[in-house]
Amino acid sequence: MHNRQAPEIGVGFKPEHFADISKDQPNLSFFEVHAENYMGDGGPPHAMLRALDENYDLSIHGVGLSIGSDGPLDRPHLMRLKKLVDRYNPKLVSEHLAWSSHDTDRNMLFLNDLLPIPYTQRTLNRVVGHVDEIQETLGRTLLMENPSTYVAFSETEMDEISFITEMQKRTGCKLILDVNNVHISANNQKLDAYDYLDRFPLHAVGEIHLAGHATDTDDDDAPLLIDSHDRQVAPPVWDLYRYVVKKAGHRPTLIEWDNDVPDWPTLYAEAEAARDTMLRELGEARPHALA
Amino acid sequence: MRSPNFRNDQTSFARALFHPDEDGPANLVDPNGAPAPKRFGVYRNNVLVSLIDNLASTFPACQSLVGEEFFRALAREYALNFPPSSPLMIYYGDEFAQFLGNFKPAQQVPFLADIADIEYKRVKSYHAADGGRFDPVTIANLPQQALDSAKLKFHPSFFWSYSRFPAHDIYQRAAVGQTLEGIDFEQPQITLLCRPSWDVATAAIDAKHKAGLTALTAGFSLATSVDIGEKSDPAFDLQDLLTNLLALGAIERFELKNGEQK
Repeated sequence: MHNRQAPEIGVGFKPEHFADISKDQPNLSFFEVHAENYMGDGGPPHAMLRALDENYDLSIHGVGLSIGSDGPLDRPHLMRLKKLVDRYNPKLVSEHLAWSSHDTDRNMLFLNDLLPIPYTQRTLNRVVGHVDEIQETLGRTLLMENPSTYVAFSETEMDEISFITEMQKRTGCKLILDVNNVHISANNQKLDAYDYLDRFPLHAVGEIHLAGHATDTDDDDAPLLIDSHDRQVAPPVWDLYRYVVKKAGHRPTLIEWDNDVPDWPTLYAEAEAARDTMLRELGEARPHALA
Repeated sequence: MRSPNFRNDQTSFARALFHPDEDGPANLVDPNGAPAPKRFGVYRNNVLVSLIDNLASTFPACQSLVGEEFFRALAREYALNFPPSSPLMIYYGDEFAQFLGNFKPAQQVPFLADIADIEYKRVKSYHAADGGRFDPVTIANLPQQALDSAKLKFHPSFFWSYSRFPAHDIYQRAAVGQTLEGIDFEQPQITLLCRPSWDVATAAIDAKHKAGLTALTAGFSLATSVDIGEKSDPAFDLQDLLTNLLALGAIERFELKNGEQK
């Protein structure tokens, strides 16, 4: 039993939960924050982050570096991220396989969404260059998250897994496996989510994300799933999570809930559900290994 | 089909996001390779809604004044014409007050732009660097001459906003959803904002302080600021202004002329 590792469970931090967290000191391993919300100079955001940092690990999750951009990286923004990372020395630093900034002739345009990229040799080279540059600048390993997508590109040359596998191999980065994104993209791209997980480079996964999604319809009135982060984790996503835990074992797991943010007990219950799932799945799998 | 120019693809994708009447990029398809305008519409909607939501969270009093539907229409117009130019979304909306001042439909509420100015400065104050607290001992027993030549070092989270309307009174009512009944709209007002401890605090002061406060924040000495303040408005009262600024924690210290920082 002494070999058994306690599950590392975290939640996305929202300032409205700070009072509850300070009072309850919940049994969590880490809190994750969006880097860009902590790029001001001072005030309550940093006061709260310092307080969390005393009792928990931090995970800094960037949403603005636009690693999938066709142009060069936004160096001033990368330096802002470096300043934040140097200030808190978080356990994890992560970003997305997506783009969100675009240089026009006149100025920079920030699109505030995680936009999709075509999977081609050309975009792969670009992304690898950007991940290398970020890891070199920060002096640490970056985790890259698999995207949720709503469209495909006519010019795509390889599938997402091949792209991610190659990116990981060439940069040595780690990966966030967002299981909700897998479910969304599998539905939207008409792929098999379990097949996707079977082929995903699980050895490089440093964190798992779980979140809720909404359902819309596509051009043929078929269900189109939207990565809304505004509700509880859906049952099929919990099924995929169990499958991943069985295959990959302990991985830090995060509950994300960014819109229509619930009260703290509701969010914490999701984290507890993730912990219970991990304990149950690994409890079943462990006895032989420990014998 | 191989895309000849990836860069142009992102240009047309970005352009189409902000031109709802145009078709989406031609290289976007569904899993069967068929055109997928509705799927592209998800990105278009996500981007616009996220920008409008961001403005709604920065300008809640403005939204309360004009109602959610009208506010979201204004915010949509702003987002389409002034999309963010930086990933620092905490500071999005820096031109919103100016936009409201120039945008005809918004002028039905003549003080709306001034309320937006206060709300944007509240966000800047919230994220500003932490500063020090004024210690009154540092100016006790100073000769008048030393005080005259002193300049004010303001707290990093200090901002102020002048309005020809009683904008602070309106802002305070709107922030908690109260009606504006009984407000004298002819009364100009200066709003002070500062974050001496956890929360951003605000206070209203008389508009007679406008020129003097402008001079002090521009770095003129107390004596010069009094000259400027009194020339503009004979009722300017430095004592009264300093009392208000100190009460809010807006002054970190008096910087004395000989370089001795008190």
